[in-house]
Amino acid sequence: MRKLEEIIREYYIESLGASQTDERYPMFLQIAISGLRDLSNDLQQVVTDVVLPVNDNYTVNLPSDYIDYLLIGQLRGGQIHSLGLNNNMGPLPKDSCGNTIPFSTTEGNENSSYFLDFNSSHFSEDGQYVGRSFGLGGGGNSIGTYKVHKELGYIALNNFAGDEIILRYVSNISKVDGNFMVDEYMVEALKAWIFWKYVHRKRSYGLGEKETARTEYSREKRKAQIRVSRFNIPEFMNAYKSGFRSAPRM
Amino acid sequence: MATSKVKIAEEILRRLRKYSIDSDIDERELMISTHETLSTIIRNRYFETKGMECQEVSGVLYYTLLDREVKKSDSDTYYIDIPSTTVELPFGVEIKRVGTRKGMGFVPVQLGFNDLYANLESSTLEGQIGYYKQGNAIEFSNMTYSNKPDAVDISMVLPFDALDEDDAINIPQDMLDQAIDIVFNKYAKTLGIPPDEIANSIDN
Repeated sequence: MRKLEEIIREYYIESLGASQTDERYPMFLQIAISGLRDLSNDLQQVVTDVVLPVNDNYTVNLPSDYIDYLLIGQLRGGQIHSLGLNNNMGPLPKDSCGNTIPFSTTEGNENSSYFLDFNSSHFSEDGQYVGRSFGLGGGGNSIGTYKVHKELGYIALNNFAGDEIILRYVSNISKVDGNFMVDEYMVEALKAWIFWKYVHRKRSYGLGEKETARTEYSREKRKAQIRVSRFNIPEFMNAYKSGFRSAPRM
Repeated sequence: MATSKVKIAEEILRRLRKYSIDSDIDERELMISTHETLSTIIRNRYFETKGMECQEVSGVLYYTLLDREVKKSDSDTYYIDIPSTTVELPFGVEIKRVGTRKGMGFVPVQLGFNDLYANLESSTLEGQIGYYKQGNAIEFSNMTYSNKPDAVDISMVLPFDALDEDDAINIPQDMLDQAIDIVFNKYAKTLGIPPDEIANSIDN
């Protein structure tokens, strides 16, 4: 990984032929951060796993660098068990003081915990499922359900019994000690982006030059994409064989 | 060849006195005029080199002024006084370096940086200190009590005001000749010294 400010200085030397940084430095830095975000979204998403505590009102606060979730679940025996998505769950109601309060009832919430009530008439005395579950909707989840309210900054949970959840999410570009870090494969693409964005609204550069800059960026991005997504033969074989399942002899 | 402000002024004065012994032009006046002329020449040459894609100011024209005290303003920002007027060049390249003696120099930013870049991720300058010129001061961005040095060094193009009359300065000979000619001609007009006759075979 490389520091972003090093790449800016390299850009000064290689593209501008300069012997010192100048007042354009913050502008190049801003362009580079935008470029890094663009490249990260397309080529190499930063995926982060975090364990988050569940609040008293059955919500979980989203991390500040959250972009989108990949999985929300609970850790059981070292394995992540996913919660179910419930898009019908609205935002939590608020009391007169403006504090969010948990849903008071599970009425109308279709979830499979209903099935797990072994004392109900759906199960025989031996615990065998006997059906008779008419009108019950599909989907749901025995661990609980969630709905991400990104604009409100929390995940609302329902029928969840644990103290914490695991959130696997696409996060903002990574920083180490307050500095942006750039994957080695993306360095040249990032430099091409800076040049393209620098010239593409400037009147002093011709259309041909701007188009060349855009093409150069596309080419560098494609190269980076190939390098990032490279994998070896054992990885390929493993992915290929993962579709095989043992089956009973018929 | 190293020279000094006073030597340049004396040379111009010697040439002027060949034509006007009663010349009451002060050496200090000539020094100021020489500084102005050299600034113009440096600026013009900077733009001339643009065609050659180097856009550089010769290193011999930069001087480092040491240990400029960092002061705190009423608005809790830090600044140093600009030690001298200098040539105004694009993107602030007339100041080569501002920073402590060891390590990397600070990053030049534009006046208004603090407002325009407020709350943006680039406002931290990746942990570096920024500086910009405002009036008679160089003000710093991202400088706090914890990372504030007591003093900084500053390298700038021909800081005439910060140099003593006898301090050795190194100006390329061709640039010096050009400056002396321009200053001489400027004062020749004032003193009524007739210009050199030009042989014009077309008009005659």
